[in-house]
Amino acid sequence: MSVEMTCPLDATTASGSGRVSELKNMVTPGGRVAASAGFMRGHGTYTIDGDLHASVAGVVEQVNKLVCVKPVKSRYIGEIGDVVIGRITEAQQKRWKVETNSRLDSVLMLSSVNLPGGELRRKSLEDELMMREYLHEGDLISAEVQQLFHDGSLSLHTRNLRYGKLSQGVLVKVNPSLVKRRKTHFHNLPCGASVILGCNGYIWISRLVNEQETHTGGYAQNLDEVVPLEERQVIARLSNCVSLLASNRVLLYDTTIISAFDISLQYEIKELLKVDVGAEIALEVRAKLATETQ
Amino acid sequence: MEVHLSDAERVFIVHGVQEGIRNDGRGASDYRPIRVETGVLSTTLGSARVRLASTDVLVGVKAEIDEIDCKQTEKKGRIRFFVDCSANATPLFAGKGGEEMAEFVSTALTDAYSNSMALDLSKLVVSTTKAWTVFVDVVVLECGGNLTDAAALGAKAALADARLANVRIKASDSEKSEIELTDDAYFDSWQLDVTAAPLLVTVNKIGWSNVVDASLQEEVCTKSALVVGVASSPAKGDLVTLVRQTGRGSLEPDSVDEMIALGVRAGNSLNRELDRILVDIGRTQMNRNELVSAAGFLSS
Repeated sequence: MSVEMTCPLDATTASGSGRVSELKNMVTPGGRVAASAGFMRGHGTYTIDGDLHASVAGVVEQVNKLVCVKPVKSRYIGEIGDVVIGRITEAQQKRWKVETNSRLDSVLMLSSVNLPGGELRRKSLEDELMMREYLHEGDLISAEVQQLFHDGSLSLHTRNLRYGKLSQGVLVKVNPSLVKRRKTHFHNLPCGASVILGCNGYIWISRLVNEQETHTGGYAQNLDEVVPLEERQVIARLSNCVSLLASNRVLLYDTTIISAFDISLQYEIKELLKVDVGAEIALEVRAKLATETQ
Repeated sequence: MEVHLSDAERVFIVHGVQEGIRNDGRGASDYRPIRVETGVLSTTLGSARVRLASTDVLVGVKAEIDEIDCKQTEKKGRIRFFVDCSANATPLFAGKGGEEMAEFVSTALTDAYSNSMALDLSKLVVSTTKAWTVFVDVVVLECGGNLTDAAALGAKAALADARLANVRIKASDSEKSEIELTDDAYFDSWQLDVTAAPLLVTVNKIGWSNVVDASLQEEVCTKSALVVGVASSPAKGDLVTLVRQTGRGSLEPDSVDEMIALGVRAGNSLNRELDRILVDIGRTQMNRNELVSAAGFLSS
């Protein structure tokens, strides 16, 4: 039995870090981005008297003459090749609708999935009728962005044995801008769990996946299987670490997650839910990161 | 609340609860961190804001003087609860979406408080014909599971914070009586005794285990839940003022007993912790009172 109550009076005054000054190209809405001529107006900007101003809070990015402001907080804006985690919301004719934290639901075509057993063949009418057997509403999948449509919605594919339906585990939702784009988003962490960092801010934590199992694409699930307690503890600790890093605005990739996990070992898992403990761990992760990069 | 879960996630949660470790590492009887703030609305007699993980409720207390029924043998005031599920919490609450949930929480609160041991309503009587009616308004700002418990915490904190003015009824020549207020209503006021006011604890049945303070995901996996109203005071001991079942499933009589027992234990620790916080807040407010008048996030 543990109940922990606080009032704002004992909360330490804004233990957040005053690191904004380090980001020189950070702008707030209305802030001037660039002076008049010579630049092209990109996303997140508008012009007043020829000057470019930011319409969102974010970071200025420049490609040649094109100036954009990439928002700090937004829904997921997809790019081809991104690894995403999504949840099936609807099964339609030859396609599934997938919720991926973007403005519009993404599409997963029946023709762009590997059928159970890793079969690669033309999809028949039977397959179309069986669609709900493969993936039904509520199921989680990992996928890759295949195509962007004009309206900004995404087309996904799972034509790789790494992708497919996800089994038992925990989904943590964070801000998409906190997930660092890297070469690989699938990690088997040394602490004994595997993590998929979806670029859309959905992070999937599950028990270690061995090579044999991955070849089914995740369609064969054994729901009677009970995940052992030790693995559960690792998963719970990891998910708490991910949420505390996200709430303290630390970029998420394998290094930060592993170091947060290691630092967190001095606390009980449920203690990580506390705001002050979270802030402390995030601060230590930042410090560790800073020493390693030097 | 619309939360979708895949079968595998559901199984993972249920197995975890049965093994005694939840997805965030808590045990069955652990609460998520709670933050209580009082005196946040300067336009109310008393107010509180409670944050329980991502659940956020704001409670305001107002009162007005009403006629009371002359035939009533026992003269007492009234207390009424209103819950408003703001569409800010979730788009599903827009329009009439949140009404069902609001109705449930407000009736649970009303029933838990309608107990003479819990709150002494006879203190609200002003004269033979008049008494205070206290309105407790709960606004749900964000919904992260376990709304009922948070609302009850907020209600108790806000009632503890409330200051009712001392009024005198002056009989005048006509039938009507006049209500007289002192000049400084803030200092010439009294506070309700809420030591025995009940808190609500929702005990969820997930798999074969009982769990308090369920997150949104866990609420989806809950077959059946029991809302237990727990009041405790040093003088009267534990008092269960409400037991109400929600959810689709049914419960075995044995497990109802277990759930009530868990609810009472959890309620007692919640009560103890809330009392401690309220004393803390009271002490700091006393120190600050001379410096600042009521300041909240809606004033200034």
